[in-house]
Order: sequence, then structure tokens, then C-alpha cells
Amino acid sequence: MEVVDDGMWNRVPMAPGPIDRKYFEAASQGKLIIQKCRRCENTQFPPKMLCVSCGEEPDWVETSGEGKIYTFTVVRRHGVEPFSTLVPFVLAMIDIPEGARFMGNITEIDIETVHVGQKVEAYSLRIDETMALPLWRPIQSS
Amino acid sequence: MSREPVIVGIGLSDYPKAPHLDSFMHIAQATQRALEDCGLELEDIDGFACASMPTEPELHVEAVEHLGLSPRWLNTTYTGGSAAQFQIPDAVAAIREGRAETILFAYGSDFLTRHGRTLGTGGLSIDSGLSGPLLYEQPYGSTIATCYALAATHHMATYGTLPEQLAEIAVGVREFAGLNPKAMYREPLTVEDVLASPMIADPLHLLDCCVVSDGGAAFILTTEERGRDLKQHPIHVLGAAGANSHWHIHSMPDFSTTAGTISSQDAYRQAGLQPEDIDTIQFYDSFTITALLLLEDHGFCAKGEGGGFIEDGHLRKGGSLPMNTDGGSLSSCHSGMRGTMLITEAVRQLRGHGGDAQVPDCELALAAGCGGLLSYIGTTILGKDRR
Ligand SMILES: [Zn+2]
Repeated sequence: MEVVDDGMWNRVPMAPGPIDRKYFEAASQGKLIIQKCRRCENTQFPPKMLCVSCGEEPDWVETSGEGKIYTFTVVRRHGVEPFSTLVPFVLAMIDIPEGARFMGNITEIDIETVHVGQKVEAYSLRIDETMALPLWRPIQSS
Repeated sequence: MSREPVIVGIGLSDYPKAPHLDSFMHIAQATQRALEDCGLELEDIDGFACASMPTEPELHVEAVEHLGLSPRWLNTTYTGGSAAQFQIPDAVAAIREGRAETILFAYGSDFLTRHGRTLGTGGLSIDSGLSGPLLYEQPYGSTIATCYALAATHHMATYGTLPEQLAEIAVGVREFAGLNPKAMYREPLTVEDVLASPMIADPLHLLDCCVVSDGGAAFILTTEERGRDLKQHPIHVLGAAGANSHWHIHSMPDFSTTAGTISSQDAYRQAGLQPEDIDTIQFYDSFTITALLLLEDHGFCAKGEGGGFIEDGHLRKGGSLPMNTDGGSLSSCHSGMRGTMLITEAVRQLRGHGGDAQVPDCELALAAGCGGLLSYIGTTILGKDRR
């Protein structure tokens, strides 16, 4: 997935622990990853130190970075910067076929036509030299 | 000697604005009023149930000290706004088993005075950097209101529920608020008013969201035997259960269904009752969608049919199932966690003390709390008499 660097990360200070950090580091390398257990094949997101199904240390797998909007809202009022200046913006839950559900913003979209079931693809927004935040946008029909 | 659990005293502290009280004094004032209501003394209390908000994490232990209690039974289970509903099952068992004779439930908060009105649309204040599960929500501008909006959109897309139907919930609750002299907002509302109020997060308008207020509530649970010679008609706890499905919204399994499907079935089974037996419901109405999901998940209509059920006017004054007869959190009082107030209002109705808002022939009431982000659902069924 594309990594966009607008050079002005101002959303929230990010201080992930070592497991979470892997997810945001992968995003900065253009990869949307989730955990999959080598023993019991359980997939889990958000990532955790252990597979909660069997206790094994899980592997990471790269996903296609494509999914569908499960549900969404258009945020019109927000009490905290920078979100108060970004309104209106789309906040959605996105399901991917590999078996995970993400919260994310959908950008480059008409807020009047955004709908449940819409196909979207991940891209990421640079946080710092090593991390990026996955975001989503409609899949351009080819 | 019957040790069946009964609620004998209820009290509310000053609301919706009470700058002269801090959270502990809300608890103390509500407690004094509940004791006065039933004729018990502070010395009679040997059990205490109280939950602390993350903003005041030691509220429960400090409240014990402020009140001068020495409880031999204590429950401080925190599940957000349903905490009282999650504490009642153990309190009921403690009364039956003799682990406690008289249990005080109390909650209070100076939420409006302390934090102002940004509760629903504010993010967290993060000084040292974000970590843990909120890494996957906060950077996207997630707020309490957006979490509930995600559920509302899902219900609308799945079942065709309309904004007008959600608005009707706010209109009906406001009608009851008009009958409560202390309610924060009392002017009558129309569906058009709700739809014309500013959009907060689609499809939730400002008037789909609860108020932010100060306030507290207390109630006292004891044995049927002890309750017999007190000042008020004792109200029986017939069923009480809780269930959960997640904590953060990103882990909610189905955005249109809560764990109320489980807690309600447990409570109905204990009580030997069905939804059609219930005369009034006191529901957590943090947002209009909260009440709609609780309505369906407690079996008052089928999943997906809540919108039509509401439109038919069942929840209104004079309807078959009047809801939130004190004006709820949508119009009257919401000071952070409202589960205790759901019980005090159900008891007021079952005593026949509802005044202009009294539900006719009210013998059975169901209270449902919702904690977190549609996460922890608790159900309590109360009866005017033992069954
Ligand atoms: Zn495993």
C-alpha cells in the first residue's frame, strides 16, 4: 500500500509497546499486517503478545489491504484538535477477508455517497521515521 | 423469616447542576435521602456497592470513609454505566445467604461541574503518548458519540431503521422530562426538532445524545423480613443478571446486537416472566440507539423491528411500555454512570409514587444498564410483590 508523508503528524502522540509497534512499522513499509497463529490458525487483531486461543506466540501475515465498509459515521462535531478542524470526516469499521475488522478513516471519498459494503483499500500516513497509520480510501474502479 | 431481597429506600442527590456538591457529597446526600425514605440508620448498613469512574478511580473506597461505613460485604465491580446491574446479582445472593443484612448502593458525580459538556465528543487527553488498544481507535478521531453512531448506521443499513424512529425515542423521553420539575430539559420536543438539531456524528443528532449533568442516586436492599416494618412498601428483586461481549467498540462482534440478549434471558428465567409481562422499562439512554438496541435485545420486539415498535408509540406516556419515566439521561440527568438511577425510578413507579408520570397498574418493571460502548449489559427485574 502507498505510504503518504504529509510531514505534519499531529493526531495523537503515539507510544506503542513492542508488539503494537510492529503493526505501525509494517504500515510505514507499505504493509497491512495482522497476527495468525502457527499452531491453531487463529487470526487476531489488534495484535497481542500471545495467541489468546492457544497461548502460542503468533506469527504475522500480510493482508491484501483491501476490504469493505462494515459500518461508518460522518463525524461533524469534535471537541479535540486536530479532529475539530478536520470535520466533517468519515470514521468507519472495515472488514477484510483475511478475518479482521479495523477502525479507520476513509479519505478521498464523497461523504454524501459513502455506504456500507463499499470497497476500500488501505494506505498509510507517516507518523515518524519508523511508523505510519493505516487509513482507507475507495478502490478506484479500473 | 424470609431473606428474600427487597429494595426499601431510594434517594437522589441534587441535580442536574449542583456546584455545591463534589462526588462524595452526592453519594452522602443521596444516601441520607434513601435512609430517610425508609427509616433505616447509617448504622444499619453492613454492605456497600459502589463503582468508580476512571476519572475518579478510588471513589468507592473513599466513599466508605466519607460515609463512615464498615461494610462486611463490598462490591465495586466496574462495568461502566451498568455497574449497579452487575452488582445486584451478588448483592441479592449475599442477602439470601446472610453475608449481609442491609446493602447500600450509591453513585454520585459532579461530572458537569468538573468536566463541562465535552464528554461525548471529546477525545482522551493524552500527555505521555498513546498505547494499548486505543492505538487502533484514537488516531482516527473516535469519541463516545462516534462509537454509538457506528452502531446506529449498522442498524439502519441492516434493518432499514430510520432517523425519525430514533428521534421518536428522544421525543417520548422528553415528554416524561416535562413532568419532572428537576429534569435538565423540559420543553416539549418534536421529531422535527430532533432532526433539525446539529448533527454530531451521522446519524446521531445533538438531541439523540444524552445530557451531561451532576447527580447521584442511592438505594437500600435488605431482607423481606427487615423490610416489613419500614416506611415504604418493599419492592422485590425478581431477576438480575449481566453479560458482556467486548469493551472497546472495535471488538464488538455484531454492531446491532448487545449482550442484553443473554442478560435478559437469565433475568426473565429467574423471575419466571416474559417481556409481555413488564409494565415499564427504565433503559440506559446514553443515545437513542442505546435504548433501541436494549429494547430488541430484551425481547420486546424482534431484532430489527425496534424502529417500527417505537413509531407505534409503545414507549410514550400512556403507551403499553412507558420508558424512562423520569426523563432519562436524554433529557433529565446523566452524571457518568446511570445504572443506580434506573433502579430508583423503577422503584418509584412500582410504589405508585410516579405522580403525573405514574404508569397505571404498575406491578413489574425492568431496568437495563449499558456500560462502556454497548459492551456490558445488565438486566434487573423488579416487582411490587413477590411472585
Ligand atoms: Zn493459537
